Amino acid sequence: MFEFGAILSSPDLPLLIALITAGVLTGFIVGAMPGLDITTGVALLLPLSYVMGQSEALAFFTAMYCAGVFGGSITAILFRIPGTSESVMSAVEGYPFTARGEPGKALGVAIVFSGAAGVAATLVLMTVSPLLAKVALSFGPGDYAALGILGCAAVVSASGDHLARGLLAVLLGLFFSTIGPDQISGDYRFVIVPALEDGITLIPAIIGLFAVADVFWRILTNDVPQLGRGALAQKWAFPPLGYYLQLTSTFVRSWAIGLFTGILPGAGASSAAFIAHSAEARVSKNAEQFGNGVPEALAAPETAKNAAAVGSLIPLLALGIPGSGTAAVILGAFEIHNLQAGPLLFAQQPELLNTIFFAVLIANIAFVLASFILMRPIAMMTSMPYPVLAVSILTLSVTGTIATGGLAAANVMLAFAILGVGLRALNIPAAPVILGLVLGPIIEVYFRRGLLMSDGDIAAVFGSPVSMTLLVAATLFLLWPLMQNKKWRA
Amino acid sequence: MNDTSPSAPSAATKRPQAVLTGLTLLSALAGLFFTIRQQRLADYPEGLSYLFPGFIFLCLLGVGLSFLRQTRTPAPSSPAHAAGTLFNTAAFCQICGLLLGYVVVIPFIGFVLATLVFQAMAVALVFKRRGLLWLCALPICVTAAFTLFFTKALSVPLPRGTGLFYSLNNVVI
Repeated sequence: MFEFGAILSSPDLPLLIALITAGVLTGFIVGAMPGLDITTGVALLLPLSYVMGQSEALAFFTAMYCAGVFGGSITAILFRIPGTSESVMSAVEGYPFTARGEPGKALGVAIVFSGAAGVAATLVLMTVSPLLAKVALSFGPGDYAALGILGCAAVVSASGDHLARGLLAVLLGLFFSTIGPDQISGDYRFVIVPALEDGITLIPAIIGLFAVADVFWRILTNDVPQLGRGALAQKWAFPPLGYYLQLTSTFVRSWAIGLFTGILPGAGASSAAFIAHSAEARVSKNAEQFGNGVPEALAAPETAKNAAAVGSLIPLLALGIPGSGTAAVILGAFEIHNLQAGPLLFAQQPELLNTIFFAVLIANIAFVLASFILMRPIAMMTSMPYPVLAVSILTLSVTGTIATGGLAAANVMLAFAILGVGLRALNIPAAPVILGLVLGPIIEVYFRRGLLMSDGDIAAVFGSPVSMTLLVAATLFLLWPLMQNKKWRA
Repeated sequence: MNDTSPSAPSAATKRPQAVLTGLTLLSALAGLFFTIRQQRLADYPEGLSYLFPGFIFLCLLGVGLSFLRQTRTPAPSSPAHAAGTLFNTAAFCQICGLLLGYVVVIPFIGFVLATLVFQAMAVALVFKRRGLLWLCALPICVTAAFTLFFTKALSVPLPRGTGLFYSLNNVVI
């Protein structure tokens, strides 16, 4: 079990608290800012890791992630502009409150349920991750390869109605992961330009695919967010405690859905919010009122998305398999500090894990407090003109990439930005590409290591009960949507 | 997406595509299996360098072909289709060109000057903003903020250019 005693008595505690607070505020602003989602924000600020210690960097980014997932709800509820993809349902269900002059009710529900879901999920994270990591320590190479395959299958399965698009995105990521030096033989593969000599590193790919591609796409489609200020002039009266307590059953249901969805690689907080909302619509007595400002319709996605955000850290920390696009980006911070997320981290650096758990817990409490105090000024900050935001994002992307990987990395970033625009035009999700890029080396290296150990016997590589179970689960993940009549379609 | 919508591919057309893709994946898997069996006694690990990428490439080819066949008519749920968007390709090409130019000239003219020029041109050409505030104040403020942030707060050395530009950047940074 994890203890925070060492952290609380550490002389570095004030610095850690300051960084967690900075992470919360940054996440809050990034999440609330239309045109800048939390994955992009974390990607943009990854170069900051270089000037922070391991634990400080990971505390900062995990805190930023937790607060950022909620931050999108602010503009969603007040202006009907979701700051992040996770907040689409918050805009649908939260804005009607604002429209009828009750933004405080919607904001209160969003803050309280997001915070409570995050804290409860953190307790699960602290309990389940070490157990999962302990089990994973006994995994052989074949088991790890099978785990990577399961991760890919889950990502594809989470592509909803468009399995072909999800599979295509994962395969692209897997293929990109093979560019550069072969980790086992040392051969250089597909190095067609010198910029690819070190392979495709995660940070320029992430910044290009998310941050720069987003700006490019908005320019291409003239999709420039513009905020009105009407909601800021209204009086925000937050509801009393009883208002929240009547939504307890909604909270429990949506929290469980969110946590489970978050643990599945690739599903992420956006899917969790949609699933929880539709599940609530099935059981609610006010189902016909959904979309008109019903508290349970807003509480369900708010709860689920924050539970999913914390849940996505469970496979990241315990197995080294990110549970969401943003978790994959946070893996970049591990990479910067030469850390390998996964079971060995629990055995070798338990104090680092303690710090991460502490950061996630404090972040989920801090953003609730910060929300009540700073909601209005942050909402005002988000009305920054888009050209200012766009040129700042592009400059920060180029500068950050050059600072971390030189001009070669900037070229890779540009290539991925163009790829990102192409993917959006074809309605192919970008997050699975990054997950493929992360999972590719896990699958290939462990698979080949298994082959070396078994003298080339493929049956021996995947012969263990764990491997077999994981591969069966991967097959089910791929077949389940087809059996659910979702069909194979693009 | 509604299955009964006129532009949705019919079940009859979807089935052969799924079969085609399934067969491609199975062939790729079979290829992988037999190649490994063949190479069992071959020298490891060099022989396997291109096995995984080759397998992924085959899968990518199969799924990509299947995808292309299905998307000859755009899916109703595609963002551009849903919004009935007219692409602003001129602005897109301008911003791509500007960013590429920015990356290319940074080593020669240094970070500060390149950033100032890039931002002023982006605001004027892509976002069609005019006036002293947009073309001077914004680039100067943003460039100053980033320069200070990276050099003072993060201690990251930014490119200073060559020759005359190097001296100029040295004065500024």
